[in-house]
Amino acid sequence: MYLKALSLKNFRNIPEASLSFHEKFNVFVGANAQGKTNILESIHLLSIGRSFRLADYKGLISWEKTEAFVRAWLELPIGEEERTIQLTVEKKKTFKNGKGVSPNQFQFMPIVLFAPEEILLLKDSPQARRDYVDGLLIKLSAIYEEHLRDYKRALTQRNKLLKDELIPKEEKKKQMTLWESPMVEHGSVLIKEREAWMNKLNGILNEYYKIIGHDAKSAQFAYSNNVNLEEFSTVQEAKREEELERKASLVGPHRDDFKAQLDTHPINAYGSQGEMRTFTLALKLSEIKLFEEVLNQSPLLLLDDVVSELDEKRSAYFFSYLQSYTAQVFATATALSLFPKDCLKEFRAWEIRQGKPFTF
Amino acid sequence: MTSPIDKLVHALGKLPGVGERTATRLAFFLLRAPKQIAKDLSEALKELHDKVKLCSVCCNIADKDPCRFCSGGRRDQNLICVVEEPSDVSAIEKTGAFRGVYHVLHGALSPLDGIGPEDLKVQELLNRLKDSHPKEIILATNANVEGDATSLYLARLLKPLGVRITRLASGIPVGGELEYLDASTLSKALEDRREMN
Ligand SMILES: Nc1ncnc2c1ncn2[C@@H]1O[C@H](COP(=O)(O)OP(=O)(O)O)[C@@H](O)[C@H]1O
Ligand SMILES: [Mg+2]
Ligand SMILES: [Zn+2]
Repeated sequence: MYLKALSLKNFRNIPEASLSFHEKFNVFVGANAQGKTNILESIHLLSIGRSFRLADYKGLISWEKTEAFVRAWLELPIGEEERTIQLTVEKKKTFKNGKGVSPNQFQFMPIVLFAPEEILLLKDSPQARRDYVDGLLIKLSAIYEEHLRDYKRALTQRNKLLKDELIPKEEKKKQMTLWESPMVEHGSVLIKEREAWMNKLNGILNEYYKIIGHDAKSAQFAYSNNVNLEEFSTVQEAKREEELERKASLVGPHRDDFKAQLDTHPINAYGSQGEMRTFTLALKLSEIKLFEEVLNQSPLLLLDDVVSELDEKRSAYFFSYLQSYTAQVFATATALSLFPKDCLKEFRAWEIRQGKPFTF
Repeated sequence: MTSPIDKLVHALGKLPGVGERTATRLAFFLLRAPKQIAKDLSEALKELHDKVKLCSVCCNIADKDPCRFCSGGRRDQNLICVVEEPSDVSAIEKTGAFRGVYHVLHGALSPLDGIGPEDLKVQELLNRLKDSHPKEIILATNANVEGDATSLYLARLLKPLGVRITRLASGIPVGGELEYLDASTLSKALEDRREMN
């Protein structure tokens, strides 16, 4: 499965572009703020119908414009597929071979994004780490997304109720419980899925960390849940008074965290810069490996400014990994010379200037 | 002074799913299209609240009161099916699998939308149960988070009355709104309804 061609119209700062891709390696180079990441974002949008930078797709339409198009031609095992996403101020429409469909009728196209800000993930808030894990599990697990959606829905309803100043306390107490049973029902699935997938991920992560870092420490992205499956309803019940006080739901997987550790020491407190970079790279490669194990298929890679983030030790490993990588890769960089010659045997490259691609 | 066009755009813009752009497009369409189209529309709108009434028993929209389900003795008054919207009544009627009567809540609990129990036709249901004693109440709210919460609320409220309370079977796809279900899925869900106590 690979992307043969892409055409964009009024997408972010790109007025119009038509690109036909190399089956393996594609590079977008250029100065800052020219539109390189925007191109990767459009590919991501085509893959799972969502941006990686924005929840609200309206921001993807060029300013001053009212409609944007993203269209791609994919080579799939079952033949060619044309998919189009049309964005207007009012709605997002998706088409497959010219026919209007819902995005889940697209053939699933696994994709893994390496973003420069991911290095910050380990130091970021628990919220950022939950979003990262949720984004991954939505792609890996068949049931995760719908339970996450319903869990968040029940949680938001309950929080809104807790914040309502007009409802008397006794009435609030009664109504709070109505949203607890869906929270427990869907939240329990989230807990189980997070447990199972993080378990799998950690086995792989530990291996990669050892190889990339030449380091025998045991690396874990440890799941630290806010509440145990068995105690969910009882703890929730016990916290009701406090929740009424603080006007927020305090119990459940929306307060989980994932802790990066080396030999059980938290990396954000004790790790070096280098250890953090190695950990992040190992984490990303583990993501890829998970897709390969689950789907029997290598995901497309979107590498945004990765080369500038790597030092010598890690880049040597990473580039040799890329060279033997079998699926399609899209990378951005400020200059082509940042890639070793071995990586640039068979490839296609564009320079992006003010939203316009120029072939090399 | 606002122009008639602005007034119309403003009014249309209040409809669900209609933004200002669409409202403007619709308004100019009505201006340019044959006059009869605007005339028919305005007459239909005028009649809407005069002629369409809620049944005083089941709160369904009806052209007479009580409605055709609640009067005439052709339906089983011992079986009350509680739904969110009048469109759900039509969906269940299409299955032909239900012989009881309805109660329409006109919504579901949703703090996010400011909808609490007092905004639904819950008191009407309680009043109704004061005089009649049905054998079973089927809670047929949508199979989503809000629909489930609403059913749970009603189940707790009605429990002291000692009436049998059931919920549609959960074979319904997640997020399933009744009106989008095909007749066979819906009649199966009715048939397989489960006790809710
Ligand atoms: N909706 C939009 N309309 C027009 N320009 C946009 C829009 N969103 C972002 N941009 C512009 O796109 C540029 C950033 O592009 P990006 O792809 O992130 O750059 P880089 O080449 O550094 O990766 C910025 O100049 C930003 O102002
Ligand atoms: Mg960029
Ligand atoms: Zn009636």
